[in-house]
Amino acid sequence: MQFAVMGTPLPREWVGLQQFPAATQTKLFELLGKLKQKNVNTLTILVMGKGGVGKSSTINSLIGEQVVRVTAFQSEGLRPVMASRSWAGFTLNVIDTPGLVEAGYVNHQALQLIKGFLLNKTIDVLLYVDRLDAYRVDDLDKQIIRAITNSFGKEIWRKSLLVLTHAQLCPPDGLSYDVFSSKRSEGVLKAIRIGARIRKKDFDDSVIPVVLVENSGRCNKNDSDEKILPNDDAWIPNLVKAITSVATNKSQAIVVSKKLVDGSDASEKGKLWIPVILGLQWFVIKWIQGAIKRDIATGNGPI
Amino acid sequence: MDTEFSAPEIASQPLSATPGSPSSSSSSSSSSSSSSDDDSKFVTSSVSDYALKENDNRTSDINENGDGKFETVPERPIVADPDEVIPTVGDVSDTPFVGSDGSDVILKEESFGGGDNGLEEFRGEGSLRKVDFDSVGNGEEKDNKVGMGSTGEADQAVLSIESEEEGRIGMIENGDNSVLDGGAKVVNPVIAEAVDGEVVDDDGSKFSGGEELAVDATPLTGDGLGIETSEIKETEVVPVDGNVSLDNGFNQAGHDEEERVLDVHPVSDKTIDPVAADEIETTEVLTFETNAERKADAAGGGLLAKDGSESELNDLKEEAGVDMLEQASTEKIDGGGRDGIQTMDDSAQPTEMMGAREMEVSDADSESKTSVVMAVEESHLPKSVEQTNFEGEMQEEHHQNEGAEIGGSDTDGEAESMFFENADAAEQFLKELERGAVIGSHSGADTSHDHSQTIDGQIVIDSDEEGDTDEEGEGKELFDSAALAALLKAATGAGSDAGNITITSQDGSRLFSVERPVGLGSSLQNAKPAPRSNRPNLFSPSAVTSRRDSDINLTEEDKIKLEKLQLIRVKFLRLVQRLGLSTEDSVAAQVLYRLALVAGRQTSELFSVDSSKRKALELETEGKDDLSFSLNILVLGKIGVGKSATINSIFGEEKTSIHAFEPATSVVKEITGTLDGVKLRIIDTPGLRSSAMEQGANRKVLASIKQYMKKCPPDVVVYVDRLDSQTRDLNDLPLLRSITNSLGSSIWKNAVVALTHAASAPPDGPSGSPLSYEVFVAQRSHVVQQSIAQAVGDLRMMNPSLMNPVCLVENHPSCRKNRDGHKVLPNGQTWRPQLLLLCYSIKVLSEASSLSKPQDPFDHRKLFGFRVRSPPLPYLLSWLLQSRSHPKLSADQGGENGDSDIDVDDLSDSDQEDDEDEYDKLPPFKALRKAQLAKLDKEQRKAYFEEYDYRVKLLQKKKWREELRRMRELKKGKPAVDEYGNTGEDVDQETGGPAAVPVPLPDMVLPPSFDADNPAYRYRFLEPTSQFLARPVLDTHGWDHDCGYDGVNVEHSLAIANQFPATVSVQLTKDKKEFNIHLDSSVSTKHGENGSTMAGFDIQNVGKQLAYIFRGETKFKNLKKNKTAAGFSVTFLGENVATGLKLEDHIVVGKRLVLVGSTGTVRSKGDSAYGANLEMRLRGADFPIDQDQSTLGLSLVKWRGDLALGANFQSQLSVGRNSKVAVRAGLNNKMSGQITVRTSSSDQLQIALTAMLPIVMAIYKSIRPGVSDNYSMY
Repeated sequence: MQFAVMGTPLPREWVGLQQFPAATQTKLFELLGKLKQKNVNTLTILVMGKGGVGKSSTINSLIGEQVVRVTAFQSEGLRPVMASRSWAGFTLNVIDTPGLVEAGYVNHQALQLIKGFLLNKTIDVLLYVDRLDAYRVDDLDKQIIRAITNSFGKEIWRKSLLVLTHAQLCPPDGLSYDVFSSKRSEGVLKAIRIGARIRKKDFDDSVIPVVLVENSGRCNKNDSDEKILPNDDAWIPNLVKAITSVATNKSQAIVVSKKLVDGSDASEKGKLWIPVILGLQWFVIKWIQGAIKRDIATGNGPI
Repeated sequence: MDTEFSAPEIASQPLSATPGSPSSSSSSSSSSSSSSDDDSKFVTSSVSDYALKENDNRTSDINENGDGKFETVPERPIVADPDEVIPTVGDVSDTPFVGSDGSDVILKEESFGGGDNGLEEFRGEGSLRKVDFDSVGNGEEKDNKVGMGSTGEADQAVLSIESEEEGRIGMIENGDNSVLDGGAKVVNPVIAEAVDGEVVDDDGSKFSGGEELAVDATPLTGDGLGIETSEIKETEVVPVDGNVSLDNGFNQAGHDEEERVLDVHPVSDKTIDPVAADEIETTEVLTFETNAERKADAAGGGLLAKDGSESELNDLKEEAGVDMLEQASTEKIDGGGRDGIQTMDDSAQPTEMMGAREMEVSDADSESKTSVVMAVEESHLPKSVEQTNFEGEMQEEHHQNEGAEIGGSDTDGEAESMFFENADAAEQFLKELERGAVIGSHSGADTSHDHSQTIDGQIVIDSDEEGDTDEEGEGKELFDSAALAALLKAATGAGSDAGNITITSQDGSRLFSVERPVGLGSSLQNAKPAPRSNRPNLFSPSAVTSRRDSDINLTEEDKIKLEKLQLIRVKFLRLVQRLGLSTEDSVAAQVLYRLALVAGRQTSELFSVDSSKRKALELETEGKDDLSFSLNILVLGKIGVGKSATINSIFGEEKTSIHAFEPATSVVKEITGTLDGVKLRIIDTPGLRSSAMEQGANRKVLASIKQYMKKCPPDVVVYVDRLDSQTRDLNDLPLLRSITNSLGSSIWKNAVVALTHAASAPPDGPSGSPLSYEVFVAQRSHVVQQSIAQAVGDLRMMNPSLMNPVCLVENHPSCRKNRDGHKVLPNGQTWRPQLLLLCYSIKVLSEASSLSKPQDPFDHRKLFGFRVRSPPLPYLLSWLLQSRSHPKLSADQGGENGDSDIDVDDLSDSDQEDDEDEYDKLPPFKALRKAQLAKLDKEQRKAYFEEYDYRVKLLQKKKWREELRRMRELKKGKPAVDEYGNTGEDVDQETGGPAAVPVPLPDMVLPPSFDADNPAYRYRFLEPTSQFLARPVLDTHGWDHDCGYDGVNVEHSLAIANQFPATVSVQLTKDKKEFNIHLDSSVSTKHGENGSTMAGFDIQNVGKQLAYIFRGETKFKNLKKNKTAAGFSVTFLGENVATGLKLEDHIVVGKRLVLVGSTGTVRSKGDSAYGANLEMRLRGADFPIDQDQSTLGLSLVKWRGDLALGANFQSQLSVGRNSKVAVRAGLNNKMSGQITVRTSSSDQLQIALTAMLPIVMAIYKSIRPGVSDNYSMY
């Protein structure tokens, strides 16, 4: 983790931390203190997800400052952006990424850019962001997850947590908020499991935490001015808590190496099969020839 | 000012009358009132108008007009005015005037029918004018404009005067705007014109406007009314105005309309002298009017008196007023406050009323009185004249006075009373008119009519005379009901003039319409036009005429169409009503507007919005459920956006199941229900997926939707998406494209975009604060609309006006609701009626547009057609550069083979003799049986096959030579009986082999029983023995897969004069989309052994046009191995002519290599395309027998600075004994190309396949790098 920030300029002071309501600050200091206890001085968070789900907004909420520009209705640039903030010797790096979907396809170009950007960095936590108020999980979600898995390996999901934005909602169909959110989380988690091709057992072993988030300025606040969800949870401390727990879990952080970035060469793929196919063909040919010979032997008459 | 106005005002007066229209008199009064507001002068002018009006509709009209017009105007906007007026009217009214004024008048207009149309138009104009008035009100400048536009003339002066008052007038007018509009409407076109004039005048000075109105009033009673109304609005203003205007009118009117002007002048004089007296005068006038004839007399007296002196006027007024009171509504007059006014009202009723009003208005000022007098006089006869006379003087004076009078506007209250009185009077008049007796009362009106009838010019003249007479007492004469009636009748007879009609509608409309709508209308119409004619600026003339024309031109077909449209509109209005929306709703308004557009310019009563509104209202209040309207709605959209929920919301009940997390709708299903009497059938569909990878699944869904659409074609398509998804990443593009591809882009034509979750809060904007809801919705709508446009690939869709309308939807059960239980969006809208309205609108509009003549929907292919206008030179060039074989005489026609391309000689002469017997010399060869072959060992077998192949080759060669020999013999003229002798001996030039002999299609076997569906019947070839070779053209990829025959091909070759071989081939193909013809014909002649010339004519489709190509070509065999050809072509494509030249050379190098080069250019309209082809052919050693051959072709085309280079390689090889490989490769300078490898083999299949694998992969990779990359990811 030390080299994660190599070459990057000194991060700015985390001013936003002081902007949080006192109650939130207390909780955050506590959590960060725990991290420091574990000798974690740098935390690099990668944020990924579809476009328009609120990745950048989540980052802004997390840091407490407008570090990334958020524009509704406009697709972000293609380049990932890293925001770094330091506080008392602790450095928080958050990497915002562009939406991974373009015109119905997974945007592999964007993914490639992200991988290039992450080269030689260590990912401590992956935030996979989706909306809570979307009602369906479709194939595209699975494709995105698969693309992420292919880029960083299945292990990435051990260091990840699911962030569901737009959490301030009134569930339809008379469902209770908790039922709704848990159903929605289940749906997305299932998509992750399928998309990442993780065996159910393994998946269940390492549960991906789910955090609900409401980035809107209209988010309700409790008495101590903390942003809360309809279930009265103050979500920012929750998010940080989940991040710290994932960061400190027993799985290894993902180091993005050259090999990982380059991936396997597409042109190499399947080459292995050439001799096999040829061999198979040889057998097929032999069999056909044999059949012909037998036919010739049994038949009569001039050619 | 006054003086200035006066002249123009006259002209304007008519106009003003128009504005006042129905109540020309009223208008005049109004104008007068306005004037009164401003200045006494204005008042006078208005008075004059009144007078005119009075003349026209007569005082009563005027009164009524004033009111009625106002009311009429109000029909719509002027309501307020009408209200005020109405009461009066009501009083009066009875007569339909006031009470019904607005509506009644309108109705009347409708009754007029054709005229009505004109009227309506006029109304429109009127409204416009009203606007002007408003502006006028704002400033005198307007007046100038108005005056300029309409009458200009003296009115301007008046106007100026008026302008003083304008402030008020303007106010009034503004208030009146609606009124004016109403008036204009009522008045019809004429009125409108009058209004315009008035307006102008008004602008100059309201008074003048008033005057104009008044003048016009006769014709444009409506205008007058409008004016009055305006005045009324101000308060009694109208009447006051009338009075004022009267005063002014006298002065101004006189100016404007000579008659009135004359009156005015006297009046003005009087007024000037004794403003108060003027009032008195007005009363007198009123009396005159009321009395009609008597009044006229009295008025005359009064007028005279007025002229003579204020005192006289006063007396007269008083008298008149008394009379009036007695007769009509003295009370009102009293209410007016001024006795004179009251009296005026009573007496002249319309005109008088006007006068009275004016009086009242002026009451403050003597001017008003004078104006009244004027009006009376005018109404009688010569008001105009008098006015005119007065104009100069009076106007000035009046203006001055008016200035004072303006102050007098205060009298407005009084004026109002006057109006009431007027209204009463008008009512009376109307009644009278109805009775027919009206004429007298109308006399005023009549006189006005007369004026109108007489035509402006006449009127003016008359007015002058009259004015004089009036002064003298002629006014009475004028008033004579009989005379007036006669005039009116004449006018009506003349009535063709739309202007008149309009006038009628204005003044007359009320009066006349009330009395006898049609006749009056016509008469009025006539009258009006005339006035217009007088005025240079008259709007009415043009408008009127156009209307008339349109009316006349209304064909039965159009009428039917209009009726149907009317039905549709009524239906739509009912729907709107049932939805609880108003027609002011933007969507509804748009639909109505577009319906009007569909109706075209000929809008008649048949097709008036108001009547349909009434009708709709009636039908709705009846509560009958006879609304036969059904709607099929197809709902499409992504999964989970709330399609089914939206349907449930529409019906307000759980009609289909919804689920938050699982796709709830798995099959296309139909949900029916009835909403507000509308049968709704909604097709709910399974959600579509946005992933590009899942479009296959989407296509399946869409296919089933398509099936369903066949069963019940949807009227409206609702594309559902969420409002609160905020990306711009074109995520839905694949899905939208799938929809477009599967259902056709036309699906979007009737599509509505519904955005669900509309209650979600807008996201934060760049500033961190939330976007406003409107911005949020607009942005999101824009994104969706653009996505659709992009998916459709139709740039026209980018046009905001063509974008799919967007409707918001919120299905959440806890959505905020209003008192009625309707869900309300954050912007306060209830979305459900809006959505339904949109859907209804789309269906209604499509119904309406289906009524209009089958216009070609804009076909974007036409664009291509346009582009094609510059001929596709490269195409023509390639057509030109094609080397063609020259037709030859067929063998039995004794023709020689003139085609020097054939290598018969080469081949035959060279090798053949030596090898001739080679085959025969060979020792006998015994083919082995398979069994024997199997016994051979490898070497033996190899040797055997070699020998075998060699012999086969020799045998083929031998046969080939024999064939050649036979051909040569043919050449030498040996008769050879050819079964199909008529077909040319076509030798395939390049291979040198004989061409395939065309064989007629065998007659199809017919099934034993007739079956129309059997293609054998449809495509039976019935000309087996014809000279023509006819064949059906089979296109298996055509529209009709069952029988792909979509064309016929006919060929014929013949010898012209037994000497020039010619061939003609025509191919006609016709499918559902297009008709294609392709004709090739050529005739050739031979020059000795070495040359031939060919001329040809081709016809073929290029784009949507037919290209006619004439071409000529000459070939020389200048060396043994070299042939050169030169040719030209002339192409006619549409309006363009393209000429082309080409040069071709054909060289044989050695025995195996052939070089063909050709170059050419095509030129059209200064645009040239150059091209060159070079082809190298290398044949195998045993060419004709084994088909080994390689061809390398290079081509170059330069067009419009764009250089296209292309290379083509084609090779055909025998590989081994039993396989052949054909390779084709092409590459152009844009680095796009293709490789085709075709292998045919009778053994070693596996090897061929193996060889194919890497090639295929390489090609695939190079072509679809993206795809392969994608795959690499997994």
